[in-house]
Amino acid sequence: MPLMTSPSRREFLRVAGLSPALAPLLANLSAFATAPTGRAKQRLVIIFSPNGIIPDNFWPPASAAGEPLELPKILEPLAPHRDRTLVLKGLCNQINGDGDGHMRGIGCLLTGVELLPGNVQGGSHTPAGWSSGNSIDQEIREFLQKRPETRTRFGSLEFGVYVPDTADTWTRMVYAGRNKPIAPIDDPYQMLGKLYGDARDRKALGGILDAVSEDFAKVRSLVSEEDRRLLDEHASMIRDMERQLAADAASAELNHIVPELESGVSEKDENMPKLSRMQIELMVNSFACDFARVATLQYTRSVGQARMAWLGVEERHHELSHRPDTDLEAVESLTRINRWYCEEVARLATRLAETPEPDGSGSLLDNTLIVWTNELGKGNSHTRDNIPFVLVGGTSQQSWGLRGGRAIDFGKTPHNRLLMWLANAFDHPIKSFGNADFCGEGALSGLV
Amino acid sequence: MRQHGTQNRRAFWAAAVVFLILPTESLASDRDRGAQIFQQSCVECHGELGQGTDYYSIPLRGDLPPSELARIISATMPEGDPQACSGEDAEAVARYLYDAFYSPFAQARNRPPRRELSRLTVSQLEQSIADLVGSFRWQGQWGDQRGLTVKFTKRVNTGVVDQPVDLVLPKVDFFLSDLKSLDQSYLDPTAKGKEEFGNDRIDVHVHVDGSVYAPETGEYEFFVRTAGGVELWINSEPIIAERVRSDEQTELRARTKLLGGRAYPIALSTARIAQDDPELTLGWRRPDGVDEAIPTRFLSTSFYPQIEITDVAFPPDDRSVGYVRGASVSRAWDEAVTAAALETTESVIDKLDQLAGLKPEEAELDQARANIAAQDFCLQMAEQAFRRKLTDDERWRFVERYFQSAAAGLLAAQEGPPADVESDSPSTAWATERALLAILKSPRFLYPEIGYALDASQTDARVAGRLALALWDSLPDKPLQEAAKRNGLSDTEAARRQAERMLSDPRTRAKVLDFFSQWLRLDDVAQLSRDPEAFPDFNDRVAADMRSSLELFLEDVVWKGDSDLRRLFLSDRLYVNVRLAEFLGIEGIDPAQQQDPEAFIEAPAETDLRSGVVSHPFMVTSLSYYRDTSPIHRGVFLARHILGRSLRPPPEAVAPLAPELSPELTTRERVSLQTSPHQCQSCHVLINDLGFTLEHFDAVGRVRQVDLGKPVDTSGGYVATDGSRIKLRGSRDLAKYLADSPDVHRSFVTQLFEHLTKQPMLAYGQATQDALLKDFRDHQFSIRRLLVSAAVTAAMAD
Repeated sequence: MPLMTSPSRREFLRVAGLSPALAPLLANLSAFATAPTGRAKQRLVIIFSPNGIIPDNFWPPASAAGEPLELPKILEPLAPHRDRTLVLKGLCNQINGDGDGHMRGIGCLLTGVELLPGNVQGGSHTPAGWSSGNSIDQEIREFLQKRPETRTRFGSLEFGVYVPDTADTWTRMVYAGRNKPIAPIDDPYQMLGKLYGDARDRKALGGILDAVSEDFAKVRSLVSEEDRRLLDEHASMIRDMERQLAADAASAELNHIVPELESGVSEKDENMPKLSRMQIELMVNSFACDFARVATLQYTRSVGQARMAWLGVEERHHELSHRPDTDLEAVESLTRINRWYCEEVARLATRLAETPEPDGSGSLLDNTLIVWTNELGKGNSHTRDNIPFVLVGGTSQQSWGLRGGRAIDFGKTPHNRLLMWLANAFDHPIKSFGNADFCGEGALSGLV
Repeated sequence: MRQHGTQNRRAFWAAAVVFLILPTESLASDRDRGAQIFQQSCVECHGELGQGTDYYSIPLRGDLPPSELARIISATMPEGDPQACSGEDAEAVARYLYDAFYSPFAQARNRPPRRELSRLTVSQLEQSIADLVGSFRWQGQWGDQRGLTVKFTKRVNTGVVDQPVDLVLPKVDFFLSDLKSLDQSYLDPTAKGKEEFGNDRIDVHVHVDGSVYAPETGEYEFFVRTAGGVELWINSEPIIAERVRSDEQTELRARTKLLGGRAYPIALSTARIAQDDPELTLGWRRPDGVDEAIPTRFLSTSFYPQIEITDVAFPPDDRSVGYVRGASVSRAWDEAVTAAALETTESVIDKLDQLAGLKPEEAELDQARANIAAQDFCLQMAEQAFRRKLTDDERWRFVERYFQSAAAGLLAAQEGPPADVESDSPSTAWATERALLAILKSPRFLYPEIGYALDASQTDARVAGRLALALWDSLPDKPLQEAAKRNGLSDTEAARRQAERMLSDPRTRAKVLDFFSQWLRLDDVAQLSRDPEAFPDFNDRVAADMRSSLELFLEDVVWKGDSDLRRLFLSDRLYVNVRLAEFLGIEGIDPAQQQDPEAFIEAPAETDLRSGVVSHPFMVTSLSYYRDTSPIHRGVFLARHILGRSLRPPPEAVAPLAPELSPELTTRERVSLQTSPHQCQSCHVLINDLGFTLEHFDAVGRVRQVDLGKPVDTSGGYVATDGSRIKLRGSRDLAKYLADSPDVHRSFVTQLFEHLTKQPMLAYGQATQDALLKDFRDHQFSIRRLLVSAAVTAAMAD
């Protein structure tokens, strides 16, 4: 139940974050006891940054077995995590159908299935709507939420950084199902409200939701059958909220320590670094509190137009990404932009590595796999071949068992097979995901 | 919701009958022939009704006239053998498919749009909450005096010396020494105070009062520049409270959300203590704007009450059909509504004594009476929120049952201490909280049309509610409610009178500005960045000036004079301040003569190429690239937004040719080259020929005569939906054509109507569109009249 904190309450929140020193304290809370299954708390984070990469500065050169993984300019910030980094080349988003390259780039990235026909028109191709299937993070979330030993309060959390305030195909990566995009929350204050809520508000709400449901039942007969669908959908949300409130009330989890955020950071280009860090802190926090096992973090959107003046890049990102390879200045700017995204990925990895698992067995990063990806292989060609997938963390044998320090080239393999691997690694034995035509040879192998 | 299909079908048959009884047989046989050819040569790929097939999936739908369709068919169809269907055959088949399924008219007939049940949009919800609470407060009046009242008080220590001086300043942006109307004792920090205070230095305290108008909804960042202590109150909330200053920083900033079309109380206190000649600037940064001292036109010396604003971040509404609407719900939206309901409830309970006229000490003494007063307050809230009189069931369901429990709780608690809102036992606060939450979460509030369906006898309340939503995005005010109560809205003339009255409310202005912002895509291009090497004197501030200039022009066209749409296209004047005049090279604005160099004045444009909105510096700039113009963006904008044409997407992904790769080509030549293939031409004839007419304006909106050393070629043209062809040369030709174009008139009427009502226009029937267009034309294209006619038409619909 995400509820906003009121501005007056919010005003007094200050910089902090969950420092490693706090963790032993947290471990005393009942919610942080070790999972009873003996298996570690396996987690997945998917990070998105837009507009393709600069291949020469991104893909590690082929290296012989045993040699350390070489990190080209864009990937350099991952050096502290070199041994836990696995770079996957040759994975291709081969989904065709409606939508322009950017739309399919982001809309089919985690769903592996075509977009529905729709009325959102891009710069080319046919118009499209939302995805026709769910995304892999939501597939895994549903799977984990069904089983009591892996169920968490939220299941998954959808973070964003500086995502434009429009609901369209370029802006949504995560889908609960066909035609059901989930908007990332890019306001850290809103996320804080969602995570920590307000107990008194819950009580008041609990007192009236029953009456609201009754109200819906009473008015639904007044509208036509076509319009009733909308009311019924709304009414079912009210009932879900009622159930959620009841469940929350029964759980002791609400007593968590609330992290503090710097106040008044607004959504604008120059605040992206701050916003990113705030979201990373909230994510690390919610893993430490076991609020969720799955998270996504979406930077801007496909076709993202961030102006990264703090990198000395004044021109907007998407516009830059269209420049030809011969424009060396643009190549340099794009390299800097991608490297900045990589720094944020590395920052998350570092924060997870610094934060111990509540049960004391290693760090959060040991059991958390970060997957950093993009809607395009390359910006100026709009190719969806060689979509970047960089895997970091998850090296514990109790969870992912990833073998890092490597780069693998899969040639030309549909990316659906990576999506399947992610689910299988959670012991969710799906035989295909998204468009089955691209799943023929099963989940990828050789990652662990 | 009622279906409007019958009406559409009737209109179609009426037209069809006219068509059939035309005294030529050839037309009918021509149609048969077209149908026959379509069956033989087209169905296989395009499908029976042009809906598309696996082989070619794009449906044949659009608004090209039959003549253009025939041209394209002649040139390209059937695939592989374009000669097989040309001349009269092509015309016949074009005519057939145009009438059968291609044209907008045929589409509306085949799939009649309907009015869908809609929830309040985000703007409507925010505005409604503001007025719901605001209706229990007094009303402010903007008045005629622009600027703010600034009170200067001399003090020695804490003691006041002499009478304070009140000045009305056009804006707050001065050094104390600038203010010649203050006497020397204010200006000279070494002036001695009266001896009895024991201190020889005079301090000057400054207090600023008045109100500030927010033209649009969004986050406003306020800043105060001074070294003194500062308290800044916006909308009765202290957003800056830095009374102690020991830092070097002279600027303090804070943000707050404001709803557009409303004025807010503003107050600022500071003091000159221990400085010689302090400066004081009260500035803001509007949503997507730049730092500026708050301009005079947004300030008033009048007073306003606080406005209730929820701080909740709502997910954006769907606008995929061209206007914002509330046709779907999502979990995030429901959660945001819940959060807003909670926040509003908490805020109302905090101010309950003020809003419900309860004195706290009396409430303390007579809890039973306070309980009744709070119940009355909640009943009024429900009536406002549901936009009509309550039924007995509603009184009980939403309000009385909670207060009855509270009354019982009071009796039971007489022995013990009084319960408060924190406790679980029913108290007055407890009942108020539940009643308000139930009201704000009710579908009767969130889906306005449901309430009217619930009590069909209150048709006047329905008219009032719809008018308020159409013109204000909000709830009916007192005059509307009263008119509804005495059944004074059942005839069109009475409804028109109300709508005309409502036009003068600033909320209508905000809604109209919002329309322009979407129609002209102002919100997509809030911040322009341009190559500093090519355009060293272009910057954010010039871009913001261009935007202000356009806004002032739009306001002017709609709200001053005859409100004639044609002036939007034909005006040869520009609003400029000193900086923009310099940038554009407009002469005759002498900086020395301008009291306020930031203030905008209307001046003749620098060139007769400039004509109205489509060649306004902001528009031609925003429809350009980082260095170059973009005839395609300009053409698409003119076709889609101004002329209301539907354009098909490009058949394949095309990255624009980089200018660097063909340095010898002008922009026009490059675009022509790239769009020369057959499959591009079906749309790009339309796009390019419109876009090229604006080639006289470069990527920062300035006039140019040459591109790459060659004279700019601005020849172009347009083929209208009625098939008429026109040659155009340059921006003025274009503007003249647009001003009188039936396509523009139809597009404007339709888009404005849909912006107001949040429903598809054709759901009200073809006849409604025709009638509104005729009314618009018959009244010299008055936009103000159109606002009234559109709002009233929708409000009176069944």
